[in-house]
Amino acid sequence: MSRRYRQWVEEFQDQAWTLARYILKDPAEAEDVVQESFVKLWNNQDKIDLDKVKPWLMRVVRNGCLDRLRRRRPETEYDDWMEVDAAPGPMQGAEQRDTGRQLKAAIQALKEPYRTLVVLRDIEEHSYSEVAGTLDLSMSQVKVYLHRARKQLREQLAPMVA
Amino acid sequence: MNILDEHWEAQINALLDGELGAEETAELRREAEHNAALARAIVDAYALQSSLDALQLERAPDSLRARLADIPQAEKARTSAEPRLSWFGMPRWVAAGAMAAVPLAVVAMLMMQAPETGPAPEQPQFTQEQIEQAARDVQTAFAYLDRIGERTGLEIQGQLAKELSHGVNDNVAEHMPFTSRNKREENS
Repeated sequence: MSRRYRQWVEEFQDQAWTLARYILKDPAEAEDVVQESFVKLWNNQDKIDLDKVKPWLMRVVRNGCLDRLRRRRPETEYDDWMEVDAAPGPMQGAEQRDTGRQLKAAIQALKEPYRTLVVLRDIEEHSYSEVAGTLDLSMSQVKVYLHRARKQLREQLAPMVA
Repeated sequence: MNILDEHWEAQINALLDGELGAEETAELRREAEHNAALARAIVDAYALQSSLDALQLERAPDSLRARLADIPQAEKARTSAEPRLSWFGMPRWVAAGAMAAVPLAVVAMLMMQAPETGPAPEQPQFTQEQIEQAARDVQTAFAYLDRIGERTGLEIQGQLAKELSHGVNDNVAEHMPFTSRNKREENS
């Protein structure tokens, strides 16, 4: 049981962390949410369909992040936003470039579920079915929403990438 | 973009996802040759995709890795320290007490309704058989409590101070004045 859990940690910790960082922006909060999510994974490992552990975990991470956002005051959100560029974030290699920074900001500014869709599909490269399982959407909904999200990003970034 | 563009929007995304067939790709290309907005959208979509590709998974920090690795040990320690729970999260001894309390409450209500100086006209009357049955129920309930008390004495000691577990390890009936009164009434 412990070995199986260790495999999940090895496989999913970076994905969970990246998703939490894009939604929450604040590293400390993101770390707390990921830890809480893995505690839930440990406590529910016998109840989860082994083929759906990743979408299950990503859903828990996302819900944990959204819960925190709902509790957060708007001014705190602004402070966290300002801290993102100072701390090492999801961009890492690309962060130094304007394109990367603006793309990151544009993704973070997307509304849910668009933001999570882009992170899961375009950054973490989950399959459509995994994304659908995570967000509890149909495959066609995932595709439509993803199209809209990408379109929004394109429109925001068009002047920059032209 | 007009309504027709929704179709091309979907086609662009399918192209980026590698889901567009050769025939549909050719159709998209033909359309883009005389539709500047579509051509621009395709170029922008590719530019966005390449930018997204540059974004990589962030490596979880070492502090988080350590926290995740500690979870099994911490959770095992936490769950072993917690009392074993049964019905709706109640400790077993509480559940047993609650179960035994039901017939006791019924009997108590019957006895409280029984007249002390004489029957009031509007109050219900109980037959000797009903009273005897109630007394038997009380005995059964206390016997059940005694058995449960023996089984769960150790469990209680783990949760409460030793002095509180005393009455359950002994015969519960002897510690409850209601029982002796009941016995007197039964004998009289």
